[in-house]
Amino acid sequence: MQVRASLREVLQRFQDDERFKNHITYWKTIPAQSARTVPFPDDLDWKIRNTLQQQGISAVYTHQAAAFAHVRQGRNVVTVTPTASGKSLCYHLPVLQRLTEAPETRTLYLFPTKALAQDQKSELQALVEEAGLPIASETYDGDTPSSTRQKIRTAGNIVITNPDMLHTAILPHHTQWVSFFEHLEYVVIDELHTYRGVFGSHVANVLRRLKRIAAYYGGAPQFICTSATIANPQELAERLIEAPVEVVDNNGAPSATKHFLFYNPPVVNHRLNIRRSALLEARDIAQQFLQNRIQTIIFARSRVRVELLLTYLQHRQLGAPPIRAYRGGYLPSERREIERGLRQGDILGVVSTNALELGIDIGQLEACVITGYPGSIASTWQQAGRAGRRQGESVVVLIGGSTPTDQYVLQHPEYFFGRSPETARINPDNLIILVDHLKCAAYELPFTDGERFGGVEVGGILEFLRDAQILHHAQGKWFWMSDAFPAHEISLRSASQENVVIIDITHRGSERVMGEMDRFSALTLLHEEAIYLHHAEQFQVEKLDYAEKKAYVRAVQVDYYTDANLAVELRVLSEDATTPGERIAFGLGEVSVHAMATIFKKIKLETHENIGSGPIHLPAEELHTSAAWMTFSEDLFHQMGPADLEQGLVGLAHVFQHVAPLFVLCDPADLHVVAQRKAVHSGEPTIFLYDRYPGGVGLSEQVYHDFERLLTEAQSVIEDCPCEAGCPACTGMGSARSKLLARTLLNHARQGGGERVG
Amino acid sequence: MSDDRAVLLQERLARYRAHLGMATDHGERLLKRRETPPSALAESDGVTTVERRFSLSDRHGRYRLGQFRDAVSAWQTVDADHPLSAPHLAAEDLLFFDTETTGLHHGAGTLIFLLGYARLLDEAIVVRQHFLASPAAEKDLYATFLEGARGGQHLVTYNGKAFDWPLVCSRHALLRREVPDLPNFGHFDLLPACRRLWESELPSCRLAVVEREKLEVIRVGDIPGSMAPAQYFAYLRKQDFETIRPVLAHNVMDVLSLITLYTHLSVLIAGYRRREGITNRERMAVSRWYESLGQWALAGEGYQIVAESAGPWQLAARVALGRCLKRQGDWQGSLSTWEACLPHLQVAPTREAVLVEVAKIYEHRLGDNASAYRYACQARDAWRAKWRALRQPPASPCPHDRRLARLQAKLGCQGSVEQGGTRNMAMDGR
Repeated sequence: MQVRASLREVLQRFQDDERFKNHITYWKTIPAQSARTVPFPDDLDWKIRNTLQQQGISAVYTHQAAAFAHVRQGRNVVTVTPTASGKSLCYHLPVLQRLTEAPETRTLYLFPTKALAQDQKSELQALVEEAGLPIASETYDGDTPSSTRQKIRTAGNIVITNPDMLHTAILPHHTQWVSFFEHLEYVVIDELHTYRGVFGSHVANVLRRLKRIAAYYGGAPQFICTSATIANPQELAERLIEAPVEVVDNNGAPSATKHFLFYNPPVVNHRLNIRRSALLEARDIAQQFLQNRIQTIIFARSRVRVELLLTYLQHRQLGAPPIRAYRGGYLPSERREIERGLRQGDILGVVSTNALELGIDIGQLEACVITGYPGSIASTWQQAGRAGRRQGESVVVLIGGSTPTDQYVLQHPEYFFGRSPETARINPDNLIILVDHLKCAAYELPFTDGERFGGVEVGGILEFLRDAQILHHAQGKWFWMSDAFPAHEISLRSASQENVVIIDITHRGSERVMGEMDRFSALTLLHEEAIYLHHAEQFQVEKLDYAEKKAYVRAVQVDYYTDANLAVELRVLSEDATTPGERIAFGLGEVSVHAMATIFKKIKLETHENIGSGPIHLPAEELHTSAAWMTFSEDLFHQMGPADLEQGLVGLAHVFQHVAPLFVLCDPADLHVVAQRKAVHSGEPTIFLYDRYPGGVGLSEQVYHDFERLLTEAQSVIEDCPCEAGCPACTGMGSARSKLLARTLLNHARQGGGERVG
Repeated sequence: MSDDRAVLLQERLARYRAHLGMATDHGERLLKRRETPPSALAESDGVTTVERRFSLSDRHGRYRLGQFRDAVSAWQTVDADHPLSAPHLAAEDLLFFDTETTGLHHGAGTLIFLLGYARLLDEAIVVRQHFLASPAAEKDLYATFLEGARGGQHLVTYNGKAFDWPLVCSRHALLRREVPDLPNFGHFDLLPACRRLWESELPSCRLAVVEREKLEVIRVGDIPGSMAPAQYFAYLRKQDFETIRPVLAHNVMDVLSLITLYTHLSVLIAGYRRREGITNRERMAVSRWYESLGQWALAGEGYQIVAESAGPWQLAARVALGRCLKRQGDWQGSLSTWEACLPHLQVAPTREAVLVEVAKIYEHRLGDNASAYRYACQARDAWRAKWRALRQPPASPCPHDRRLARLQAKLGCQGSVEQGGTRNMAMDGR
């Protein structure tokens, strides 16, 4: 019987034990910080003061005081501080204060998910109750009973909801919310940083609609936002709400000592520079914590990896209390149960996707293991924040994978610790998103000739909608003239409008829905014969009814998982900007992408060897989007020969796929890279980088403007990589000469860039 | 926006049609049409009001229109506090009201384009329709409606409480600063009444089905109501009044049918004691409605009539009659009614309930514990029979055990006659 070690002892073991110490490439101890507070604001109501004092709060943190002051002076504000720094008081205080002065005031609280809204409701209601204030605060979401809804609409001081609900239930029915909109003074947006990319672009348009309706009822609400640390909180907030915003970032909250370890798995194949699997390393490191009963959260980058890790850890039989998985695709009730288990300590460990990155309350954990670089600095800090939220020493271990991104970060700690986190980018004017929300806005209130929608001139789109027989133009106004309800057809969360439902048919007579997945992912994860993992249990897809959007799966026990290939065809539809050059030219424009799943491979668990394959018969998915591309001069054909040229391009594309997201600062899945030896539009060798979302959310524009830097970084990745001829961490393993060929291409390109025009 | 950019935008939008969830087939044809639609001139009138008069002797389905006055007065003959009762209302106060809308959703984008209502005016039935010829004239639509409907007190609608009136309120909320307040109308919604009376015999309670099956209303050349939005959109594009004429005609039929339906429902509900023109099934439904309203005497009268006639409803009526008599405190009456029907009652749940009721009267009202015990035992047998028929073990302990135990105690030494029901049940239940 082994004696349990404390966290400190486990850390000591990491420093002493050969198994670990040689692979810890960086150890940063972030010192504890003491609190910086100021007295309560003078105008704070005594009831609120008393309540805070009863909770042991006798002063406010500097950032809370600053946010309070800004709001009181009528300014929009965004507070940017780390996890667990008392951010919610930044909005509770001014809102409650205002309600003590003007009880008819209404406030809208927006949280990115229903779960967060529920969490905050309990906290807020406890505060209100203790202060004895006559304030009605309630969540308004899909679970709210209809009897309560009526009351919330007419009398809720604080309505807590999510953007989806605002989009489909509140705004289109604003005539039932007249008194709410007439008295709406504040809109609180928590977790502002989550509103980026497609989702953020949608939400920006939902907010345009909100402001438009508020204006109709005579109001102009003030916005109070909070955000995790990102590089551009002000820019993001100002793009989202389209008004000037003050930033508050003088964090006064205390924090305890945190150890941040970079762990790079050992190289197991020197020629190919292949490192030991991050998953297996994560298993071993997590085990060190778990077997000593140190509550641990383990992040993995995909659903599949979450399930694999859970299986591995469960095989180690660490005994009760149990380890659970947490990810999208589970039913809400399952998730609530896991969250509760973590808070109460009934669950010792959880393996999660980034689903637990958000402020869902799971209490304070001591250790956090991040398997593979999460793809962004902000995201990494969010995950790291799960360990040791306010006090008590804690540890975060970031385990590098073999990808170029991971290796870059692991070998350049200064990139991570020195650089400001990424920029959150949105593109509210993405034509598809804009048109979708313009429809919703026209449904809600007729547009008037010359009216702008959040600053955008929309006359042309209104004409388009009139010609499509959706709007009717009469006497200077544009009336909704269709029996459809547009908000129901528009999802804020995903590009594809309909998800594939996953149905477990293992037990006849008790078939059940066990989750859902977007169509694009279904191409590669739910094709027939695919092994789908759910709660570490294996299911085989027996039938994928693509037309009906249903996948039927049955529980199986096999020793492999499946991995599918996607063939992509790309065509340029229009060129919006070009940077000509002698040897290399850059372009930006619209493309159409045809994606088709072709074959899948069966890969053995643990050894990861290929043990079989099969074809996939599914229709192609088509995507219209924006792309940036670099074109090499045609004479390369003759210099290198078509086969070598192709391998060089593929190798370079491999590097871009991993490096571009680092510098464009987006999720690697949102930006795809395709190489063509002979591009259809020009006949020249070309590498395309395209936005995954129809119409694009601005990633390719960023790539286009950063192409030079991207080339420099790609070159340094290739030059710095210790492998001989190309490895998964640089140019991939497409051929024995891919590294050499990619280098040739780069050298060719670097000798002559171009002047930028357009 | 410059012309080039405008064309470019239209091209991009056309390309994105699939992503925007729009069909691409008529896209090209439509994209060419960039001129202002020929609507502007015809729209200046905004709201068109159409009025038609019908003679009181005109027949619509099974009644003459004028007969609805008899229906209103029929309610004076029953002393009933009923949702459709109008003791304080005159026939002139009723507005038979129906709307046509651009969709079935309740959101702010659903427009009412036709408000139609029939009422008694100067010894005739007057149907007035306010038609929104241009969506820009909504304010005028409600202004003319409020003017035209003045004097009306009470709406009669079909599903108007859930659909038409909330939608009117929603549209009015948007215009509330420009038009007077809505009057505080009373409201008879006839849909729930139809459900109570006919849900079990009709395939659905849509107005068209009720008309055909119950009101003898035959529509000729009528377009279905579901076509109304599309007709209106077509009208707006073509500005041709002939496009919308069928919708107006449909709406006239709807409000006239409301008169006939209200007449018929009143005849059935207020005149449920009449021998003619009402089936026992309907009489049962009406009586049940009275019973649910706590009108025991009225309900009992209806059940009595059914109980005295032969037919499939007889037994159910007798059971219900016993219930109403008991509610009125007539213990002997209800006891004899129930005891008389017990030998015919085979269906386990009803039989069990009646047995319990009878046992309760014997125990608590008549003090006859032995009879009460006998009936309570029978109730327990019925309960067992029910579970045996279901071929399942009972989900909960026998609900009659406590009564049996209490009665056993009251009867003293006779307690050895039977053991506790649950144990026996456990043996039987295998």
